[in-house]
Amino acid sequence: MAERIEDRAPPDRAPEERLQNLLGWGLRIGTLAVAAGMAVALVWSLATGTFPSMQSAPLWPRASFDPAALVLLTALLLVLLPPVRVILAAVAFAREREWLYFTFSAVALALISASTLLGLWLRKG
Amino acid sequence: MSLSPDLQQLVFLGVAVLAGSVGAMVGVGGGVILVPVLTLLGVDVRLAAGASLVSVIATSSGAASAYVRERLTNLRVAIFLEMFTTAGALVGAFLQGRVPAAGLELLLGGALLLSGVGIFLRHRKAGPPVQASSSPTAQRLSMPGSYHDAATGELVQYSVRRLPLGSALMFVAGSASGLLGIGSGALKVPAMDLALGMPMKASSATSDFMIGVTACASVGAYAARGQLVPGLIMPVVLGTAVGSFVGTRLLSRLRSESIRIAFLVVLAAMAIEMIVKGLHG
Repeated sequence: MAERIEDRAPPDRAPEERLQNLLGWGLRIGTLAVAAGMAVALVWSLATGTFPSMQSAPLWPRASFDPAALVLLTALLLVLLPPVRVILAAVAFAREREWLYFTFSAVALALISASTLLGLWLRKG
Repeated sequence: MSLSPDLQQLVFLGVAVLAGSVGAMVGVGGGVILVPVLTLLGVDVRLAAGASLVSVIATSSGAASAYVRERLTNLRVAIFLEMFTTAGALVGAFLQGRVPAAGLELLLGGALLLSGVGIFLRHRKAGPPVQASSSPTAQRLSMPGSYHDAATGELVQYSVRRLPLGSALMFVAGSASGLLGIGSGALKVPAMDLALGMPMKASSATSDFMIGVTACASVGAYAARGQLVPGLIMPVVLGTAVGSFVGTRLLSRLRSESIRIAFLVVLAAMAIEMIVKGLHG
C-alpha cells in the first residue's frame, strides 16, 4: 500500500550527518593534494619549457622528476575521491546497521573495480 | 592541431576555463562543452573524453561535499541509483573501445541534443514538487526525503516514485558518460525530476553526488587503455576548476535566463557540427 508522505515518520538522517563530517576533511585534503600536484607540474613545465605530451605516460614516476607522471598520479588521487565517498557512505550505513544500503554501496564499488579490471583485460587482449 | 606544445596547452586551458565557467553558470559539469570543443579542435574524441571524465570528477566533488553539508543530497536515492549508473558506465566504457571515432562523434551529437532538451526541461519546471504518494518500494527503502529550502525558509518534504523507470534512465545516463566522457548531469537531473518526482534542488544535489562515481566507473577503463594523456589532463583539470570557481561567482551578477538561452544555442550548434563531422568521418 502506498503511504502519503505526510503520514510517515521522517527518515533517520544519521548516515548523512556522519558522511558529511567524514567527507569534509577527506575532500579538503584530497583537493589540496591535487591542486599542489597540478601546480608543481605547471610551474615545472613553464620553467623548463617541457610540457607534458599528448602521448600516454607511465603512471609511476621515473628516476628523474617527470611532470607528466606527476599529473597522472594527482589525477589518480582525484579519481579516487568518488569511490572513497562511496566507501564512507558504506561505513556510515554499516554503523547504522542499514545492511541493504551497505550492500548497494558494495555493488557500486564492485562495478567500479570491474571497470578497471575490464580495461586492463582489454588492453592485454 | 599543428600548434607548439606551449600554445596548445594554452588553448586547452582557455577552452577548459570557458567550459568550467559556462558549465557552472548553467548547472552542468562542463564535459558536455569540453568534449565537442576539443574534438572540433582536432583532439581525438577518446582522449578528449578521458580528460573530460577526470575534470568532471574534480568539479563534481566540491559541489557534492557542499550539497551533503546543506542536506540537499538524498543519499539513499544516490546510493541506490549508483548501482545503475556505474553498470551503465561499465558498458559504455567497454563499447567506447569498440565504436569507431565517427560513430562516437555521431552519438555525442545526439547526446548534446538530448542534454539541451534536459536543460530546457529542468529550468522550465521550477514549481513546487508534486505532493504524490511514494511508491511502496521507495517507502520500504526509506527514500522519501526532506530539505530546508533557504530561498523560501520552508521545509520541503518530497516523495520518490517510479524506481524502475528512474533506474533504467540512470543506466542510459551512465552508458552515455562511459561512452562519451560527459558527466551526464543534464540527463540525470531531468530523469530524477520527471521519473522519480523529486524536486529540482534535491535532484541536482543528488546528481552531483552520483556524477563523480559514475565517471570513476569508466575512467579506470580509459586509464587502462592509455587514453588519459597528461598533456590534456593538466590544462583541462586546472582550467575547469578555475572556470567553475569563476562561473559560480559570475552567476549572481549575470541574468541566468540569458546565459541559458545562449548556452542552448551554442549546444545545438555544436551538436549539429558533431553530427556533420561524424557523418563525414
